Amino acid sequence: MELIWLVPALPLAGFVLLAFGRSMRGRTAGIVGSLTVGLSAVSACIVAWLFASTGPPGTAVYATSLWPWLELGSASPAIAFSVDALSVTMILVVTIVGFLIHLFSIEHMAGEEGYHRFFAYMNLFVAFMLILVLADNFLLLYLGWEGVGLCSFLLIGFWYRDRANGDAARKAFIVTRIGDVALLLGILMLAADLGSLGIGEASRRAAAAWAPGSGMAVLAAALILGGALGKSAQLPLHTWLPDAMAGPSPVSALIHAATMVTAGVYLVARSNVFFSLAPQVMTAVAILGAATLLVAGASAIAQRDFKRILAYSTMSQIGYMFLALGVAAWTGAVFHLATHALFKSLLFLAAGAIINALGHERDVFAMGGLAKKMPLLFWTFLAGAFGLTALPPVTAGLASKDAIIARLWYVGGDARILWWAAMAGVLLTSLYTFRMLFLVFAGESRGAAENGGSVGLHAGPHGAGHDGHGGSGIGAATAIPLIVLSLLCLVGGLLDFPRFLGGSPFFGSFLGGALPRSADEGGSGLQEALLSLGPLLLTLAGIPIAWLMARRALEREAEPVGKRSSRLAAFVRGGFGFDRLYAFLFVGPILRLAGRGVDAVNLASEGLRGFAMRASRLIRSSQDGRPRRYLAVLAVGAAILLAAVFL
Amino acid sequence: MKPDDAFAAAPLIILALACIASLAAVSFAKRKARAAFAVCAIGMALALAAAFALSLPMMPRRIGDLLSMDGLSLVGTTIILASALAIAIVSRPYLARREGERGEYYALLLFASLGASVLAASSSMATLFLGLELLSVSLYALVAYRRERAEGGRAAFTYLILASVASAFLFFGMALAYYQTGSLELQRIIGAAADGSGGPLMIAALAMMGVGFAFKLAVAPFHMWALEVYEGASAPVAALIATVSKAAMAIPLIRFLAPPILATSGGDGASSFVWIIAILSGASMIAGNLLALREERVKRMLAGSSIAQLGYILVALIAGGSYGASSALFYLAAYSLSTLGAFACVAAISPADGDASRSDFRALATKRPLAAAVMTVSLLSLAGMPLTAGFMGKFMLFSAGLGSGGSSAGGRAGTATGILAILLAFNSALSLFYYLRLLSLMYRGPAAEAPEAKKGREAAGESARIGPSRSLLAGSILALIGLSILVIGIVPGPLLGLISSLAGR
Amino acid sequence: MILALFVAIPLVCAIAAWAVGRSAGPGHGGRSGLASRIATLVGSLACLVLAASLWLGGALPVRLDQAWIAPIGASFSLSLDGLSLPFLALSGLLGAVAVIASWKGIEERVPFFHFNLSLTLAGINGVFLASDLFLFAFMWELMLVPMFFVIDIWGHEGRHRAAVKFFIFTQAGGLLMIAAIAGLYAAHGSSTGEWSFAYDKLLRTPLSATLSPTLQMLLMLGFFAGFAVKLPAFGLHAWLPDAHTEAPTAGSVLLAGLLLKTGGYGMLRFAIPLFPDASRAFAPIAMWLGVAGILWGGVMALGQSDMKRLVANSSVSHLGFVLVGIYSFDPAGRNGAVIQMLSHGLSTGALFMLVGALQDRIGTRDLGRMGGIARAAPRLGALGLVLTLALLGLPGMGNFVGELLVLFGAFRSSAAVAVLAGLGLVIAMAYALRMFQLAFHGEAKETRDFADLSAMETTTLGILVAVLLWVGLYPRGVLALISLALPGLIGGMTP
Repeated sequence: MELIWLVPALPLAGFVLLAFGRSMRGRTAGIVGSLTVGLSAVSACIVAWLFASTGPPGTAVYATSLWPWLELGSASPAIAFSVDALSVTMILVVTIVGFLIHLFSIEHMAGEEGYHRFFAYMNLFVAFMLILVLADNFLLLYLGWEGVGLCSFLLIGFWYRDRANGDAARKAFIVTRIGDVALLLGILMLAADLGSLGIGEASRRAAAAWAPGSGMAVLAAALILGGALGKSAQLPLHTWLPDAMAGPSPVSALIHAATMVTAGVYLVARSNVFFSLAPQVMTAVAILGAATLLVAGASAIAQRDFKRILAYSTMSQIGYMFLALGVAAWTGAVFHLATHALFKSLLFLAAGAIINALGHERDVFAMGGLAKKMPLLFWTFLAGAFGLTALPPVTAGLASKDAIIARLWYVGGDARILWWAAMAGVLLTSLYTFRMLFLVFAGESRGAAENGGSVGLHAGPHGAGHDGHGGSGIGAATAIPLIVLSLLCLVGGLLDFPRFLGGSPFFGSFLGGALPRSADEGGSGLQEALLSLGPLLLTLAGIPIAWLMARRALEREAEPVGKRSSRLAAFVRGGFGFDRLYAFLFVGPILRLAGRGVDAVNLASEGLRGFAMRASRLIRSSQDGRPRRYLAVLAVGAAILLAAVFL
Repeated sequence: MKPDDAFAAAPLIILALACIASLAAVSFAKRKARAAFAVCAIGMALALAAAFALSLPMMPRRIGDLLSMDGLSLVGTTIILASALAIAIVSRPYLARREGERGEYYALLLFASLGASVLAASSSMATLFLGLELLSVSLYALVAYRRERAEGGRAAFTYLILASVASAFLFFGMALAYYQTGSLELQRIIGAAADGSGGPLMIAALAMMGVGFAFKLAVAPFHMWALEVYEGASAPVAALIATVSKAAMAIPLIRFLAPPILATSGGDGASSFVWIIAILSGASMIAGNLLALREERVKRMLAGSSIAQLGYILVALIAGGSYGASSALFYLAAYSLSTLGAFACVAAISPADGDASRSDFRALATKRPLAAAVMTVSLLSLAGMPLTAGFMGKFMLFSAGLGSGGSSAGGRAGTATGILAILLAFNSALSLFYYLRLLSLMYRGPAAEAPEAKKGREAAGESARIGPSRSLLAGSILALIGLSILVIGIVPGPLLGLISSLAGR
Repeated sequence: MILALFVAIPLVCAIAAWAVGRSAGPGHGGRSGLASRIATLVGSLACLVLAASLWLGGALPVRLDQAWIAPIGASFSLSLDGLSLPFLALSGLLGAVAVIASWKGIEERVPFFHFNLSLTLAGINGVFLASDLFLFAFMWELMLVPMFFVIDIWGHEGRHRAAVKFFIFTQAGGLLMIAAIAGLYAAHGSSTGEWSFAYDKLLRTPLSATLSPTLQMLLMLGFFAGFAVKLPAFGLHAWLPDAHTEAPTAGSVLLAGLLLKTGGYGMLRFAIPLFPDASRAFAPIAMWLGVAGILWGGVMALGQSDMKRLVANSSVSHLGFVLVGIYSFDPAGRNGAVIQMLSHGLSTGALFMLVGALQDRIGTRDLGRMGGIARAAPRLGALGLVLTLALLGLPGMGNFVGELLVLFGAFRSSAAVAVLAGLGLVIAMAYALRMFQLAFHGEAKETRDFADLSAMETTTLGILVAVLLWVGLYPRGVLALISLALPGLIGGMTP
């Protein structure tokens, strides 16, 4: 158990290897990268096994401190890791999904420029995420937190020769940084007022020191929430995620499933004590979650970029998690996080494979009919889609999402509106998912799909060099992860299956050690069945509508460009105009102030200089070489002097 | 006159004899110039030696009520004679390559320094006026000395007119003072001024004498002549005006202002005087620096700088007290040394057809390393940079102005000097602008010369511009000046101790 | 005696460099140049070793008292404590960096260049060591002259104007400080009857008995003016962008890495301990000045198209943190300020070296004309990335520790300050990434082929980065040292 540091250390070592081993030829880099993550996954499993096998499941906490870091007042955070049920869950998700994604990338990224740079960054990404989830104090967590942001920047902008990608990457880093600063201030506040940053210790002291709903508690929770909103791309700091599609598909998979966006959920769950102390903030969490859920879902329907659809869907799924957090369904949220990691990574990888196969074509309207062309991708993607829409037989989404929705119902009272929002979300999910399915796989092939792997709408300069494995040429390294993930999706939900279907809440009880159990809902089996029937029906109802929408959209597509899309559609597609709003409110003014970097203060000093020069010119004009002038000055001076003496 | 008096006054006597000797040399010697130079140099050296060897043991000693040979006068005489000697040596090669030197020049130098020394030692208005006139008249002659150059004559003329008006003020002031007190002794007059027994006329007298002093020190607004005259006079003479005559006038002023009485018996005459001098000092700081700020002609620039520098010195004079006096003296020494260095460089690098202009300073560091080094040191010293005498001097001024020595030593440091100190800070920052301009010019690469101009010069066979003077003696003096600036800058202790102990006597 | 070496060694090296230049006549590069380079390099490395040995030997504080100017009671007394030592080490390190950075860039009058370089270092070391206020003022001014020449002779296009501006600004501040020193000297002397400039004695000046609060404030402001110009504080920073931009690489390294630090050091060592009450009263204003610097500098950096100027403006922002930390009157804040100074010295020094290397290669500092360098020169790109991360204060870098501690100190004294300073981090992110992407990413504007960083440059930068990481991940190494000294300089700090 003392070797817990190996889990993050291994990917880090991989990063170092790759960073300095520029000489690696061919796929060595990929293999090294995957290997290190794989090893860390193995060690994570060992840790998990040790953890589960010792003592009553989940209750224990193991901490190992490597070296002291610094002092903030009486708080002295160290470089130290701690393991409890929550972090075990997280490292399992991160390492296993991360490993599969690495594996996938070995072939997927083959022939890319900067192949080993890619794997170096990916390893670093995983390493920082592991540091984040294993950190025993908030400051180390913050280190991982920022590191994750850095890697997202590096990987979103991986194809840096195209400035647009760079802008997307920068946006991601900066927008999340806004949240990070809030988090940092929160950390400072904890250190100042509680005198400790150890997560457990701080929580204990907070519970002791702060009355529920007291100002301090609310402030602390709010600041922490700020950080979470940024990383998890929830309103109002969500604008970076859709643009984050600029990176390679495996990166998107990693960001959306294993590493980046889940960090926010983890953080909130991790600091649940502070949130329970601040009911107001809890409500805010729930409301923001619901809002994101709906906004993102609606935006997803209007997208035409394959990966953007998935990106918005991630936002809305994270919205579910925040909903759950908002009603103190901690375990539910984490469970959905885990299952979501499975099916969303699956979706992204499959999508990535498709996009590569079509020569970096990302416009769903240019696809279609791929079900026949790429059966493997189709079925795996379908599995992911079922997970996303919580349809049986895929259990991943089914179990986790229905649990959350049911939980919302039981909260009752004003929270009932949250339940309605969640239900609306279910419909939206079904709509955009199946719209996407129909557009991509059904019907006859269009555009790029026609001549599989030529240039399409979004074909960047990187189209070249991928036709090698265009079409359905999919190697084992690509196929295996997809299949494995599909299987995991199928069974993943069984970890915590509804009781009325004979499931056992193993996962919940396991996490119970780390997270407060959500008050066990006393609903009868029948009620539960009804509650989970609702979403199911709603999803099924969505399917035909989605079909119609897809048809309609395709007809629109046929029409001349002029009236192709209404203004509303454009607005929705643009993610409800948040970008423009922020540009107007913050970015614009700052850039105007920066101007061309002309410093007003400097201008002032230059003005002073000019004044001195002018004065000098003035006084020198008196030196005109006329003795009588000098004499006059002398006389006047003397006169003034004499006058002055007598005054 | 007892033998002791003779010993005490030895420097003056020796100088006087040297004057006669030099006149004799000019009239009868075969190689006039050489002989005159020898007499001049030796006389000054002897006088300097005598000052320490003979008159120091006698100090303080009053000779009649005309002269008072005390520490103050000794310091003054030292500064004066050392500067004069250096100038004499520098002048030699400078003149040699111009219209041919004549002996009278050195005779005039001797007369000037005699007058200056008398001025420094004067304890009565009679000697004061005598010394002043002796100094001024020889200066008129020296400024106009170079007949072939028109501006020399014009400058001398300007100087003559203005100076005579100024001395008229001074003289009239003296007359009034004598009328009030019935005495020519400075001590009595100062006393009368302090306790206000003299009444308004006394104050008027002091004010008029003040005008005379201010003029000779080129303190604003009585500075108008300075730029003109410095420009017109040849570099060594300008140096003489900048150092010898200023030192000579500063010493009596210190006699006036150093004593605490002016403050302690705070007759409102005294306090208002403090404010007036403060205003004069501030005015000349600003005026001097602004005049020099964008001045293209080097000698005029130095003139402006020396106007400002005198303004600085006044800060210490206002502060008064023994500390103020010694600070003023130290700064005076540092200033004279630095100014001397600057003008000596100008003289050294000046082409035969006039004095050095900015263009001659370009790339000096590579052309004439020694001159460049000395010029650098002198300018930095004037700017008050560390490692040079100027830094210590500035520091002394500051601490005098901000009341070191405290009221116990009869200092007058207060609001006025405090404000002046701040003004001093900003002004010396401002002055950097023109010092640095010249400084960086010396370290630039040589200017790319237009080919046809070059051809023209080759055609003229360099006859137009004979290369600047190089003489071992002058060179060594130059080096000596630079070196002593550095030494004083790094270990100011000894000199400081000497001056403060002497100023005490 | 060992302390004198810190000043003596650079002085000797300076004279040596100058001498070889003389011996070789108008030395244009060549052997004399090489000799002077090596002399300076060895000199600064010697200082570094000396500092390191003292660091490890750790029998602090060390003192040296030598009579100097008896008549006014000024003595040549140096003292080295936990606050001075890190800065001395830094100056040794950056001195070496400066020499290496100008190995290629400087070809004209090499000996004279290194003469000035060493002289500057001597002055800087003297400032960090002086424990006699006259000596301090002496050394303080001594730094300026050679630095002026470095900028004025070997600088870029607008060098003369920038050099003069730098000199006049700093000199105006410095003279005000000297005036304040004189005033304090007078106050101490007239009250105790003992005329001395000794730091320890002046520390014990019965201020409240001697000076009215107004006068105390005035004297304190005199000191503050001198240091705030150097630091620079917002409003007095006008000289900095010009000087840093126009200076040659070595000059920028020394300016940003060391000269600016003397300002913060002076505040910690002199302004606050000598005038605790006045400083306390002034603290809020100073902190807000710091915040203004943080934001203003950041926004200005955002607008720059000249890479060097961008880095220079970022310095204004970073040293705003220092000001906030120092005047937060909080132990953590003070520690943070020192750490921030050290890591800023390292990171910005390295950045200037990088920019210099770039300019030597592609002949421009204009971000608009760069791009795609990461592809053309991977080593440059990688180091550029790492230094950018240091610039934006990524955790793990020393800068983060500094900013964190400063923010913590600020938070404890005034939350509003902390919040606004925190915004500075976001802006830092914006300009740092903008710089990095414009320079290193995107397509190469003009297809040019140039050499990647040489082995020497890479190792130098690598060492700097390593030190940064050390400070960032194990700051105790430094903090332990600082904490030997800082509590003594508390100036009425809240316990």
